[in-house]
Amino acid sequence: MANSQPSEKIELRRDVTVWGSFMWGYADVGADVYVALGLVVAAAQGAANLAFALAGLVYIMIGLAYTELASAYPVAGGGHYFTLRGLGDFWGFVAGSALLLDYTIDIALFAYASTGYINFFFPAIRHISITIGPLSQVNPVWALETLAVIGFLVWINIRGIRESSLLNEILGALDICTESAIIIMGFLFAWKPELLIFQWKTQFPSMHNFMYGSSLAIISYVGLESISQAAQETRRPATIIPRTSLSLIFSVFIFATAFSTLSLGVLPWQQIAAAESNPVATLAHAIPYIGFIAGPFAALLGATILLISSNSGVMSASRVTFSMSQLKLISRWFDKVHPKYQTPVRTIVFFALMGALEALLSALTPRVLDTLGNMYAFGASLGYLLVFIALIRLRFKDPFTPRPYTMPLNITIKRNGIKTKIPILGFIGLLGIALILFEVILTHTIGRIAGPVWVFACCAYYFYYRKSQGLPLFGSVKHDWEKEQIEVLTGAEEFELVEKYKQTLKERDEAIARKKKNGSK
Amino acid sequence: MDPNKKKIMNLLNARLVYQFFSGIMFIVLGVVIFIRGKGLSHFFNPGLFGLLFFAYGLYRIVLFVRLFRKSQDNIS
Repeated sequence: MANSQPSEKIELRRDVTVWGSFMWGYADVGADVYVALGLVVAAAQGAANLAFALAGLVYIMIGLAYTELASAYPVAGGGHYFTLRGLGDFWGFVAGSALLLDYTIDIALFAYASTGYINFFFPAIRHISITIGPLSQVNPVWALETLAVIGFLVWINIRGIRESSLLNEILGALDICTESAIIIMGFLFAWKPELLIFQWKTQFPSMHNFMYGSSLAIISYVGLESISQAAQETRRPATIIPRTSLSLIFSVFIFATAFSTLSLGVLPWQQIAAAESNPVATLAHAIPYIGFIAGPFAALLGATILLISSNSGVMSASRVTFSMSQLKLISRWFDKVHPKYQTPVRTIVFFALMGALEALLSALTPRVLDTLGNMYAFGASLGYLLVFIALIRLRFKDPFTPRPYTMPLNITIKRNGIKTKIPILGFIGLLGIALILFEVILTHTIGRIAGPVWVFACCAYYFYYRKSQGLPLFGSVKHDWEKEQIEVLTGAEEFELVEKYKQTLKERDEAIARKKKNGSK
Repeated sequence: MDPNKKKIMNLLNARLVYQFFSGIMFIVLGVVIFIRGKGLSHFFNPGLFGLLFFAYGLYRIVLFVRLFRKSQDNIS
C-alpha cells in the first residue's frame, strides 16, 4: 500500500467548461426520471405528478443552497465539505458517508437500469429468471451485463476527466432534445386531460403510499451535487456554477413534473407502474405518429443517458473520497492520483467495486430497482439535511467568505458588529428535507435499515482511522481556512473574489484591533 | 470580423436560440394544458401545472431578453 507524501500537493485539473458543468449535472439528474417515473407512479398512483412537484419544491431549495455553497467554496467534495466547514470533521464525515452511499447506489442503480433498456432489444435476456435456494426471480445475465457496464465506466474514468466529461456533454444534449420532443408530441397529440383528472379523482393514493411516492420522487432530483463535486475542476467556478446550477435546477424540475403529468394523461398509472424498468419507452410508445419508432429510440436513449448517470456516480464518488482523504477523514491511500492521467484511480476502482457489490446483492431481490431506489432516498435526504444545517451555520461562522450567489429571502441582522444574513429559504428547505427523511424512515422498509447500517459501518471505520492517526474523534483537525480559501480562489482564477476577501479580512482585523485598543483604554 | 456578420453570428448563438425556443415551447405547453385541462374548473391539477409551465416559459424568455441585451452591449 503506497502512501502519498503528506507534503505533496495534489490537485485536480481545471478542465470543465460552462457546458461541461451543466451537462455533468444534467447527465446525473436528468436521467433520474427514466428510473423514478415508474417507481413513483407505482407508489403515488393518480397523484404521481403532485409527488414529483412537492419533492421538486424541496429540491429547488436544496439546489439553491448548493449553488450558494459551491460557488463560495469551489472545491471537490460538495456536501461533505460544506458540512465539515459548518459543523466540523465528524458531521462532515457523516454527510460524506451518506452521499457516498448515494453515489455507489447511483453506479449500481443506473448501470442496472441502463442494461435494462439495452435488453429492450434482447427480450430473451430480460425474461431469464432462475431460483437459487430461497431466492426467486434472479436474472444472472442481467447482473453480469451490469457488472460489464461498471467495468467499462471504471476504464473511462481512469483515462481522465476530458474523455468522460465529453461523453456526458454529447449524450446529455441528445437527451434534452429527445425529452423535449416526447413532451411536445405527447402533450399535443396523446395527452387526455380527462384521463388525468379521472385518475386524480378516483385513484388518489393512501397517505402511506403518497409519502412513499413523494420520498421516492426525491431520487429523480439527486445529482445536483455533481456540479459542486466538479467545482474543483471547473474553470472560473464562482462565475460558472451559479449560472449552470440555476439553469439545471429549473430544467430538471420542469422535465420531471412534465413527464409525470404527461404520463398520467396518456396511460393509466397501472400501465406505467407495470413497465417499471422502461417507463419512458412505454410512454413514448403510446404517442401517436412517432410511437412506432419512439419505443426503440427511447430505449436506446434511456440506455445511454442512464449510462452517463452511472458514470456521474463513479466520478462523484471518486471526488468525494479524494476530498475526504485530503481532509484526513479517511486514509490518504485513497488520494493517490494516476501518474499518467492525473485521476484519483484508487477511489474510482474502490467505490465502483462497492457499487458492483450493491448491484449484485440487489439482483438477488425480486424488484431490483425498487430495492436500490429505496436506499437511495435515505442517503440523499440525510446528506441534504446536514448541508442545510451547515448552510445556516456558515452564515454565522464564516460571514466573510465572498458568496457570489446567496439564496434569496434573507433577514439581515448585526451581530458583534458583523452583518449576517439569516436564510429564510434555508430554514424552509431544512424543514422540507427533514420531512422527506421522516417519510423515508417511516415508509422505506429497506432504506431505513440498510442506510443507517452503512452510515454506522462508515463511522466505525472513521473512529478506527482517526484513532490510529492520533486525530480527534469528535473534534476537528485545525485548518487555516482563510489561507486555504485564498489559495482555492486564486487557483480558480477568481482574482476579484480574492481581493474582495482579503479586503474584508483586513477590515475585520482592523475592527478587532480598534476594539482591543478601546478596551485597553 | 465584419460588424454586421458579427451581429448575425451573435443572434445565432446556440444559447440564445435555445433560450428563445424553449421559452416559447413552455409558454405554448402551459396554455395547451390549461385550456385543454379546463384549468379553472380543475385548478389543482391541470390548472396548476399549466400555470407552472407557462411561468417557466416566461422565465426563459426573460433570460433570453437579458442575454440578448448583454450580447448587444458586448458588440457595441
